Amino acid sequence: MTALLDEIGFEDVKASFDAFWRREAPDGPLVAVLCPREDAVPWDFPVPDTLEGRWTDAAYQVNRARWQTQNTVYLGAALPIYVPNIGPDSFTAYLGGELAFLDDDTSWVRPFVDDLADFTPVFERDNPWWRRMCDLIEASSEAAEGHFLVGIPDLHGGGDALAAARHPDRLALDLYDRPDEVRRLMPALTDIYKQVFEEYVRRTSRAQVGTTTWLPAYSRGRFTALQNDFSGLISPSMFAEFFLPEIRELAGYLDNSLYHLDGPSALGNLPLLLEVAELDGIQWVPGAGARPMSAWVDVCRQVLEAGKCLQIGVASTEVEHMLARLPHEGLFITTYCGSEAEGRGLLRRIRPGG
Amino acid sequence: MADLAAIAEALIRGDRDTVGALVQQALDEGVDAEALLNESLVAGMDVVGRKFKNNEFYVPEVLIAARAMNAGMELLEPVLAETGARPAGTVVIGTVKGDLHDIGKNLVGMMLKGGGFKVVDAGIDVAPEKFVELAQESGANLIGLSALLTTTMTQMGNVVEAVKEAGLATKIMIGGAPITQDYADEIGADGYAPDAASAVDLARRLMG
Repeated sequence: MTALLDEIGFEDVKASFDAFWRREAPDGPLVAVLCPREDAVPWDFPVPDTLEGRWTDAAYQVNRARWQTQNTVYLGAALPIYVPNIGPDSFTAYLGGELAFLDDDTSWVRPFVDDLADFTPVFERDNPWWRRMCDLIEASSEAAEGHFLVGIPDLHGGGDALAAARHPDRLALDLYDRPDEVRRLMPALTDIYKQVFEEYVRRTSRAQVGTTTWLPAYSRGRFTALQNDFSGLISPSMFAEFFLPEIRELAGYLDNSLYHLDGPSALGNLPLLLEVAELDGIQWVPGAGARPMSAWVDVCRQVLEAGKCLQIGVASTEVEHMLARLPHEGLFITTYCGSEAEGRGLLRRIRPGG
Repeated sequence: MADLAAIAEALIRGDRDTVGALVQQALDEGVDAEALLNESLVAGMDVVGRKFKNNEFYVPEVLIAARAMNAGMELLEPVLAETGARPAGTVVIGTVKGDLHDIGKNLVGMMLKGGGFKVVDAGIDVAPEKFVELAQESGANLIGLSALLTTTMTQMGNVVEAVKEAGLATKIMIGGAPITQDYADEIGADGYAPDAASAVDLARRLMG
C-alpha cells in the first residue's frame, strides 16, 4: 500500500510551503481542501468508557487518527495531520494545574495561583499531564508511518498560561496591581515554552522531517502557531508592554511562525504584530458567529500588504471571491468541500494548470 | 461639601480608596444615599460602559472601575437598605450549560451592578432548571444568558422553554460572541445585547 503522504504528493506540498514562507506563489494560490471520502470506513474500534479515557487513551487516539485520515480526501496543499491534544490549557497543566474535562471537546485548568508573588513556574518532566501527552505523541508518531504527520500540540504559553493559572479576570487586575510580578513571570514562561516546544519537536521528529501543528501549514524547520487569546481583553498598549516581547522572542526562536489572531476584540493588536520583523505572518480567525471571511478583506489585505504571510479558513463558496481580491503571495487558504468532486472542481477553477 | 462628580471621576480611573473616602464623606454630610448612588457610582459606571463600548477602555479598566464602585457600594448598601431603597431590578446571570467561559458574563454582572441592579450570579455551565430555580428564589425580573460557543448557544433556547414551562414572567436577555438579534428572535428571548454596556441599557428597557 502506498503511504498516504506519498499518494498526496507531500514533496510538492513541501515545496509549495517553502514558497509560501518566502511570500511567493509560483504555482498559483496555496489552497488546502479537505473533503469526506465517499467510500467511508465505518468506526470499528473500542471507545474508552470514561471521558478522561477518550482524551488520553493513546490506543484510542491513534485509532481515531487513522480512521480520520482514511475517511478524508486531501487536495491541494492539504496534509493529513494528527495533533495530540489534551486541550488548550495543557501547557498550564505541565506547570502544576489540574486538567478537568467537561465533554469530548472541552478541557480546562482550574485556576491554582492565588498570588503571583508566590508563583515560580517550573516544568517538571514527571508531571502526570506531561507524561500523558508524551504517551500520545509517542504512540501517534509510531503509528504515523508516512500516512500522516504528527503536529505540535496546541501551545498556549505566556499570557494565556498566566490567565489560566490565575483566571483571566484576576490577571487583568494584576496588570494594574502587580505589573512587576507579571514582568517577572513572562520571561520564565517564555523559557519553559521553548523547553516544551523542544521536547515536542524531538518526539515528533521520530515520525517526520519538519513541523506542522493544528494550524495546518508545514515547515521544513521549526514552526508552530503563536497565540495569546488573553490579549483580546486588554488594550494594545498593555499588550505591547507585557506580552509582545514574548511573541517577538518566540518568533525569532522559531524558523517559521504564524500568530493566531482570534476575533474582532484582538484586532487592535494587529498593527503591533505586523511590526514584529521576526514573525512570518498572521492567522486571522473572525471568531464564533462572526461575519464570513468575505467581510474581512480589508484585514486580510492589511496583513499581506505589510509583507506578512496570511492564513485564513474560508467557506468553499467564498474561496474564489477571496482569491480575486487578495494577492496570492504569502496567502494560505484552508477550506472544506462536501465531496471530492466538489473539491477537485474548485481546485481546477482556481489553479487551471495545477 | 460632597462632590459627587469627583466620586464618579475617581471611579472611572479605578481609584477605590478615593471613592471609599468620598462616599463616606458624603454620607457623613447627610447626602441622600439614593442620589449618591445614582449621581456618583451609577453615573461613573455609565461612563465606563461607554468607554468600553468605544474601545477606550478594556477589561482591566472595567474591572478596576467595578472594584472602585464596590468600595463605594459597601458603604452605601446598609444605608440604602435602611431607607428602603430598591434596586433597579434583580437579574440572574449565568453562562449556559456546557460552556465554561465567564469573562463576558462577569463583565455584564459588574456593569449591571454599576447600573443599580441586584445581580444573582449563577456561575458557568448552568443547567436550565438552575436558572429557573434561582429566578424563583430571588424573584428576578430578568435572566441574562451568556454563551461563547456556537455549540453551546443552543442551550439558550432550552432556558427560554424552561422559564415558560415554569410559568415565570421573568424576561430573558442574551449575549455572547456568536449571538445575534436574529437568534434572540428565533428562540423567543426578550432581548439581545452585543456588549456589557449595552446589556445595562437593555435591562433598563426590559424593566420598562
